[in-house]
Amino acid sequence: MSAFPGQLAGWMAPALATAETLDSSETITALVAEYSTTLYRVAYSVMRNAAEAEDAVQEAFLRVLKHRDKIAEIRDVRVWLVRITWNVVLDRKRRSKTRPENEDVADFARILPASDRRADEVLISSQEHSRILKAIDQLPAKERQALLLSAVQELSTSEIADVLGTTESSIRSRIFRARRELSELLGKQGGSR
Amino acid sequence: MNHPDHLPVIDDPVDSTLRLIGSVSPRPGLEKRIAARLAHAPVSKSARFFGLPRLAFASTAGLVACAAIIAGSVNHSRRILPVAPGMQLPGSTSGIGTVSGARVAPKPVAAPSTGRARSVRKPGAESGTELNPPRGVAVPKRPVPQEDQATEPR
Repeated sequence: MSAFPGQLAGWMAPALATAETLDSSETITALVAEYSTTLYRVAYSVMRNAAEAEDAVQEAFLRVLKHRDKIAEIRDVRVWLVRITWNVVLDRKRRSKTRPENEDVADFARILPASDRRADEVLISSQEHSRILKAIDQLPAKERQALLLSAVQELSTSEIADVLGTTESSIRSRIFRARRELSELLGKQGGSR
Repeated sequence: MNHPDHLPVIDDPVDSTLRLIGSVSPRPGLEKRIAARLAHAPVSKSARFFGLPRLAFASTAGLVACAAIIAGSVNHSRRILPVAPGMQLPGSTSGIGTVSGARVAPKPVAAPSTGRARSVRKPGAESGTELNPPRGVAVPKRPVPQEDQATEPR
């Protein structure tokens, strides 16, 4: 981490002398340190792939860098960053619809907490999670988005509402509907198996 | 048939999956990798023309172009304004009473000596209907003038 501020200062080397540039460099350094994990979780909830989620976070920070002049005017930086990341991942997801899904059980098993569970237990668990995630993907877009963002622990309902550009009550009802529809979907799948 | 009683049973694995998704951690060193990516990104300033931001410059240029088109159009319309013969349009008035603004010329305008109607029907000429009457339609023949009857050979 010690080399991190130096690295960030490096990309602004030509204009390093100005206090403004130094400030924005430090600001972005602080933003990366504070929010990168949260943004990674937001990205992962949609992408379901570690490499793609990380790439999306990097792209989000590139957008932040592009609009660094506006950082001082932003009221809630966390919501702003989540919204940028959210737009990035939705764009990518839309583009990747033409490509085959790369989400697989093995990739999902890697993120499961290992603890002292046996390998077969982990596999069954990852298959179950994969089945639930596939059911989540079948939900209508608004319900699905609200449900996925609600999964990110750091985000409150009001923040989710700000990200999705709606009200808190709307978010609550979307999450409720999403859970109900998900239960029905999984119930049907369970009955048909 | 789904019953509300089933919901808590199914919610548990759903919650577990959502918790898992929401608490996933990136590989160590994410911050460094982001910094490295940002280091290689070109720091581009917003495009400026003549010291103005691109959007402001484009808007101004668009407004100037619109104004020029409107001014040119108005100027052109004034030049080709048609004037009815015998009428004199008032030069510059207050703009009130535009209907009565058209004045009758003080002297009657003489018709040009060479002027004639566009189409003059010569006596004896047959129209297209007479030459080629439509089928099934009885077209009465035009009576031959008296003088022609007198000169007509028998």
